Amino acid sequence: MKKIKAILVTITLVFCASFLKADTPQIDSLTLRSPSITKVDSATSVVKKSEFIEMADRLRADGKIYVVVAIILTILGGVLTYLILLDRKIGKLEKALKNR
Amino acid sequence: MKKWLKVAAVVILIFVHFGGLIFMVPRREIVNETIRAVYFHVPMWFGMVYLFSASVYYSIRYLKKPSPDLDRKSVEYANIGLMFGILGILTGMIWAYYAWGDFWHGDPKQNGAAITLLVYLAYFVLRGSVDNEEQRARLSAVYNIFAFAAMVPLIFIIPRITDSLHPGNGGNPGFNQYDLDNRMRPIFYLSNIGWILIGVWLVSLRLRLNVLTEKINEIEDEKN
Repeated sequence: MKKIKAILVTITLVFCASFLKADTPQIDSLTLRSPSITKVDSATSVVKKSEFIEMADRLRADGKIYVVVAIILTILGGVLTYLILLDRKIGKLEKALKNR
Repeated sequence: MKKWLKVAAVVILIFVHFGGLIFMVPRREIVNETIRAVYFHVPMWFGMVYLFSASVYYSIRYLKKPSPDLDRKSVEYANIGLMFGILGILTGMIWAYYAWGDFWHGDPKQNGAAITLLVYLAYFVLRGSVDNEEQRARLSAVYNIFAFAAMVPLIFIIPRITDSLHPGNGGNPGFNQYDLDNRMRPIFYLSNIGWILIGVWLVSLRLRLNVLTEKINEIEDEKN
């Protein structure tokens, strides 16, 4: 059991680490500039706008995304807390029944 | 279920809900920002498939060596799996409304998922319609194998050999480079693990409740 535990923890850590590594080169996209907004046409040397893919950039720039994050985390926290309390309640019942 | 697994589930899900909304995702046409649904919608299906697999595993074990304990396990796994599936189809419908223009598009993926849920609903109908406990357990165990065998082509194969609009389908193998960026993988996989753990946790709670109910019934029987 301990071995499985250690393996699982390692896998999780590797996942997190690979995420950090994968995300670092993308920091310039935090400035909200998409790499494909402008493109120089090599034949005519005219700078033209290529397909700009719309994302919720404004929401992020305003920092309002954190409002959404806060709301979702509150709900998630509430549901998870409820789950933990339920788990405890069942545990208590089991104990009470055992001690009869 | 081990306590550290429960702690892991809570920590993973909090991380996933934060990272899934904040961390960078690739810019893709059509899906745009809704690509983040991958972190929340797809784990429902992963969870469902895991729970249904566990359910069919206990069903097969029941058929080999019948015991009420194995029957209970297969029912509860199917129960929570169905809940995950319903959540998956609802979140998919919300996404489809914005990406495809309608809640129900009639896409092979949507239809397949709906049929799967109906097949599993029929599992509970079957259980409810048989009074004899042993018969109920055996019949539903056999049906469970059929339901699982129906689920695999309905969800994984048919949408891939037909023209499904669903990302990762329509002739393409799932999760190719166009659907899932390497930046997304860690959170996506963590989300799957987290939700599967929550599913197993819920199953364990229901199993414990079942045992409690049975014990209380026994005590009451003794009184009478």
